[in-house]
Amino acid sequence: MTTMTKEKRGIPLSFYVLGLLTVIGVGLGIYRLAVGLDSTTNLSDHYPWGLWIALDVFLIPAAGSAFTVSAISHFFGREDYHKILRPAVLTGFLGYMAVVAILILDLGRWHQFYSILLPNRINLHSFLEEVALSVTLYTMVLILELAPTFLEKWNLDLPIRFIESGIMIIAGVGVLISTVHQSSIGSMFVILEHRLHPLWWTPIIPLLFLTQALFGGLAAAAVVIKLTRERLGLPLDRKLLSSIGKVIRILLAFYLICKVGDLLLTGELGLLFTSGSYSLLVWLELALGVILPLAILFSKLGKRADGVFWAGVWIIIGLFFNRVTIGWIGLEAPAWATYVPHWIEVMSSIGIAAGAILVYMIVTRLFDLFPEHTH
Amino acid sequence: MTNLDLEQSLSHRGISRREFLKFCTVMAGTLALESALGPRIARALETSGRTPVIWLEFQDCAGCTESFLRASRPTAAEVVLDVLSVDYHETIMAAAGHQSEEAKAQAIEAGGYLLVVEGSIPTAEGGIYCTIGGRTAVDILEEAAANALAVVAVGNCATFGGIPKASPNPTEAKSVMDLVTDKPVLNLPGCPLNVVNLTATVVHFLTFGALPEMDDLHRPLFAHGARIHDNCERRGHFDAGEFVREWGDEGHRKGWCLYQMGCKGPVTYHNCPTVRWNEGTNWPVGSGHGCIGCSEPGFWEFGAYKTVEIFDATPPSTFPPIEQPAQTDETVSAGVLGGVAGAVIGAAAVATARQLSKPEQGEPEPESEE
Amino acid sequence: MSLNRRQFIKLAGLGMGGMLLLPKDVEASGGGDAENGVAMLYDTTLCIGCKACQNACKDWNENPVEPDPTGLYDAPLELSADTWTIIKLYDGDDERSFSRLGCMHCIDPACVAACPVHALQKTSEGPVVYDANRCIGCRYCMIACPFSVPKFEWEEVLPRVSKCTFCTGNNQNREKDRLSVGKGPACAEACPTGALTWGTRGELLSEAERRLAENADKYVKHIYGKNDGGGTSVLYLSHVPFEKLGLPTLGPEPVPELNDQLAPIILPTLFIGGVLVLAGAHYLTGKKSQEN
Repeated sequence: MTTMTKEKRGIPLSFYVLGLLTVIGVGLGIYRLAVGLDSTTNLSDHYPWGLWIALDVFLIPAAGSAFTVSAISHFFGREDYHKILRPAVLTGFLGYMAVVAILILDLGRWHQFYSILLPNRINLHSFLEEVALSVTLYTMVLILELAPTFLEKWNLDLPIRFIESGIMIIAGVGVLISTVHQSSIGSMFVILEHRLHPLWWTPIIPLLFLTQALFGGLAAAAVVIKLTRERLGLPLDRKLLSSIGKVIRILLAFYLICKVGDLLLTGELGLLFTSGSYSLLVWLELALGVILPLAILFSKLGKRADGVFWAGVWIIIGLFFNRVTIGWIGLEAPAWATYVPHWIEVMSSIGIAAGAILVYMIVTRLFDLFPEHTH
Repeated sequence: MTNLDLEQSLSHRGISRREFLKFCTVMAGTLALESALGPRIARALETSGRTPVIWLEFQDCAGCTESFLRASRPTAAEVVLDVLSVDYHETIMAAAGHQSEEAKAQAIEAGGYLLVVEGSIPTAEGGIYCTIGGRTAVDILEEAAANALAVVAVGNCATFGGIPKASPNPTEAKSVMDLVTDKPVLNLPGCPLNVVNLTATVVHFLTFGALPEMDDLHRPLFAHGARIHDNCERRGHFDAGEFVREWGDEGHRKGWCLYQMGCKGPVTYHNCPTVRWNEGTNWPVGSGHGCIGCSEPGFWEFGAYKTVEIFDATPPSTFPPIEQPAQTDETVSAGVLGGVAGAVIGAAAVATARQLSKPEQGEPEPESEE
Repeated sequence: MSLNRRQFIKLAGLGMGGMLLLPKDVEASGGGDAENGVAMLYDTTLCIGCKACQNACKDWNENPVEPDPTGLYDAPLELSADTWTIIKLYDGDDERSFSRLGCMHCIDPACVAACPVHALQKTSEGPVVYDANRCIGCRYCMIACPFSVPKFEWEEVLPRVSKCTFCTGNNQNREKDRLSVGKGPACAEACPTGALTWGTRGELLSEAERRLAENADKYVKHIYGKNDGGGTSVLYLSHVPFEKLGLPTLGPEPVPELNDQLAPIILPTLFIGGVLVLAGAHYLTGKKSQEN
């Protein structure tokens, strides 16, 4: 089982930096669990949700690379997507791990987290329950999908064959569960009509969130894969990336039509211009995160690997603005109350993100993410 | 009485000039005037002649007289009343019978006197329910008021009819101001009145030659301009919702607000919390019983232990507002976040433009993958 | 890797089976009775701002006093984990009113619909109660409540959500339960003027209607909480507009209405839709590759 030849490298500086950030982040996280939220966050009765929830609402679609690539490669007959399945699933998995880690930090009564699994407690009318439950189940599915990558290092053929024989079921369940929680995280905001700014609140928010997860997940996949293959010295597969770009641009167009159409039909189009800084935010997210990528992907640049890459980057930036607005800035709070994330909130989040990136890089080194290149 | 006389009189009783001036300053305070007017008051007291006073008592209990007599400290107050010549006072004058009536008649004829009235005046059946020396109270009042410099009604009975006026009011008792309508009547209500307020009124009159400013019930504003509720030392407990619920309970022992025990403080205008009673010893609320509202018309019908309705509550500034005032110090952090976001977008924009403006780098992809 | 028929059936079955997990008729609210549940009526025309209610609540529930930001004793500015009811002052140009705020114990509460683990529940007696043993501290209830009532014990290592219990002790703490021994909530029983009274919701609505009818010019012609937000158990009569009291303007539909309509529809739709899309795509692309 030779992998393609890589030079024996030492541990790069980035590992140390990421490692340090991770240790700090994890340390701060443990500290926060030990002492509570009061001294480690600036959350308050008037801003009960802040940076952590906003990041979770952003990371979930960004980690959608797993279910999108999985669906396309297994069910839409695109064998060419098989090549990028492993890194996409790994990215998704690490993204969800980050989501769960941040969520544990945010939950005040994290020691009773298991409540979301107990049948006699769960409230299936609560979309937050849908999200929590399906994220938990999905994480297990992802572990199964990822397992072969690790198992083959130790030649554990039996479990590998077992998983691969049921891969359609596993992948199918994963796609279904993902669809549920990607839209449910939007449905969570339906009950918050009185809190969320009308530029973002709409009854079709589940549809918008699901669409964002689809193109956001593919965008994340494209970005990560391009970076990974460059890092590993592998060719970029322009055709595949451009194919991803084509799927993304349809979804982007659909999203834009739905979003603007919804504002038009509810008579709220004017808010795009009359809402002060909120107008600025929505223009930022639409211009940078939807219109610019659409322009890139529908042009000649969309055929280039780096074109799709940059379109993906801008999609992620726009998605970040959108989800941070919906999960934090766009939620109404008393005019006199203030919230700026505490440095511990920020550093622990950075630490968790660094940890996810570090694990990805380590796995890339130690395990084979692109088995099609080994023969 | 001249300068010399008053000074002599004062020193006779062991009152130094300093104490006298202090008294005048205190009087200024009681009258809600600047303390700088103390010397002016002193001058007025020293230079005024002895103003005559006729004190009439009708349907009274003499409680107001008793209150008046309790002015024993500061001793100077008693002396100041030496500034007045009390020519007729049934309870305390030495004369009796025809002699006393004679004294009154002479004083009335001479004029220039202060008429003080204590007790209400019955008017039923021609006023026969109170007669003195064979004449009805109604007549006596009419005659005395005619020549008076000013009329001062003391005590709730004289000011508002008091207990005699309580339902069914069989004697058709009336207040002084009901009957004396051709000249200003100053009311000093209370049951009894607080003599400090009478002293202060007299001092005001002697100093400025006029009665102090009055409210629409003719009560001097310096004594009746504010509610008990607004000056009460237990107001903090009211504001914090700490009430006595039962006599002798924990709250009662801690001196909590007596509103729920029927205190009429919120509707009573009087200066008891400030000047207090018995030479500033204490006052009803201070000793653990609610105010009964004795300076108000009809107080006897309030229901001593019924909670009173509070109109036009004037809350202190410690009540939280519906919406706290907005703060604007978020701009710094918003600026920082905006700056970071701007930097990221800027960097990404530059990188995008740079890379996409150049031809595609890297080897072209082998077309073998289907 | 293609899906053979057996696997397809397995997958479809899972999808359908997933739908069986959905309860048919989940009552997010415990069926609190809008007529016979316990309720309170607050009449601003009778309130003198004495804060006996605020104080009695703190006293009964053993909640500590809170100073205001300048250190003034026992002067909370907002509801908090230690302040379950509060008297605020509206001081307008020509009008003034006190306002008593606290949990509204809604007929169809948003917090109950939102809570992922049913830590907040609507009881059939009326009050909305909280179970800290289930709570995960996600604070969704705090955001969902249109009155911003539930507050959080931020200083605790394992904080709980904190709000008025209608003196039920949350049906867990017997010592703090007044309702089950026939006593009224501490706040209502402390009120010296009858501004805050309690009883069954039906009774109080009738009383409120009577007051409106007999003193038409004294009040704003509306009983807040009769239908607002689907109806609340704490009802308001006021001589000033209700928004001046800090009460949000709500339509007659319950806050969770859209959420509750969406929940049983969206999940089956996504499951069935997802299965159909995946199976359909797989079939079509399978045929295509066969044709090639």
